Amino acid sequence: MKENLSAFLPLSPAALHILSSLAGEDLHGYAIMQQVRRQSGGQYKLSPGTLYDNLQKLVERRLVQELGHKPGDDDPRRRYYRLSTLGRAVLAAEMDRLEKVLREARLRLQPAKPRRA
Amino acid sequence: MLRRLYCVLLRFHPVRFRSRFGEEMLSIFDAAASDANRVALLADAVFSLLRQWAVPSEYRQGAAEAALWSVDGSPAFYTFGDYKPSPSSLIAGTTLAAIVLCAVWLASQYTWTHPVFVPMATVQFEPKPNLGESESLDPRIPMNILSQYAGTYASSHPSGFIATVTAEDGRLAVQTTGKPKTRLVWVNGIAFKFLGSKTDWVTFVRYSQHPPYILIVCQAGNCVTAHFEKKLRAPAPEKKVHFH
Repeated sequence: MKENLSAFLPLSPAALHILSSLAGEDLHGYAIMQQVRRQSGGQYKLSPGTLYDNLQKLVERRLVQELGHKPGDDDPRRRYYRLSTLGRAVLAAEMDRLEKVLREARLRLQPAKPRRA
Repeated sequence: MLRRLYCVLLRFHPVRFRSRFGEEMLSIFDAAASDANRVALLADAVFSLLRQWAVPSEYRQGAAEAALWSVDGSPAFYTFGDYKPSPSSLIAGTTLAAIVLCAVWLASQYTWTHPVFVPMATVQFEPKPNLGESESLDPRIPMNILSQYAGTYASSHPSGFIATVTAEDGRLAVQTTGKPKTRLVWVNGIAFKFLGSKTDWVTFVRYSQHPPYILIVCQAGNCVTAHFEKKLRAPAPEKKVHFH
């Protein structure tokens, strides 16, 4: 399973944001865009073209499940998406990978200790 | 209008993408609060259209399946050799290319016949000459100097302002669009005033060491900048120059 997960990594920034926005709850496309904007502090704005292009890929790769319409929604055209078990595992693996990258970067950023003569 | 255009752009997306996400994209467009947002969504739809046709999902699905087979973290490669696009994809791609080609051709034809006016900040190159001075000092200037200024000057302003400067008998005259020809009186440097006027004047600005010049014409407080367009045929040089 772990070997298979490494084939999905690294995730593109858009895919990472979409998966992390779906980690909490099932969302429709517009809500994903808003959630991504919120969780990035307004720095990453996902356009519909990029969102649905990535959603298409994520659904095809079975990282995201398409749930269809939700009864009671204001707009019946909206379809909801859910993070699959595989998607959750890939997101966790990507976070582990990023943590390693960050740890390495922090170590390299520390000022070098003076060598003894 | 914008919504209709957006629908057309969605319509040109591959069927597979459009049937899956078209309605949702339209619902996002309908939720856009302002025209500026709708225009941004239109631009996004154009990019999405190009992206979907440039790399169809059939390619990506195959690549994704190939990626699953990578072993030990080594990179997986996928070749598209056995892929054949569907006839409908070929027709749609050809139609799209023809539309883009026609649009580019029409745009180039339009700009060829409609020069684009770019408003630029007015820069005062020369101080306004003192127009209150007496016109009694109205010197004749050697024709070889005056002939450098003679010519047609045109402005890029939509009004189509044109000024024709002529050199006659050691003096300059100017005729602007819709106005009679008026003789110019030298004031100072390369500034001239309209004969008998205390408000109208012209000055020439050189944009290199040599002619032609830029002409600034100020009439009734309105100044227009015109660029040298065509040189007029210079009259025969004078043998003798008279000054008053």
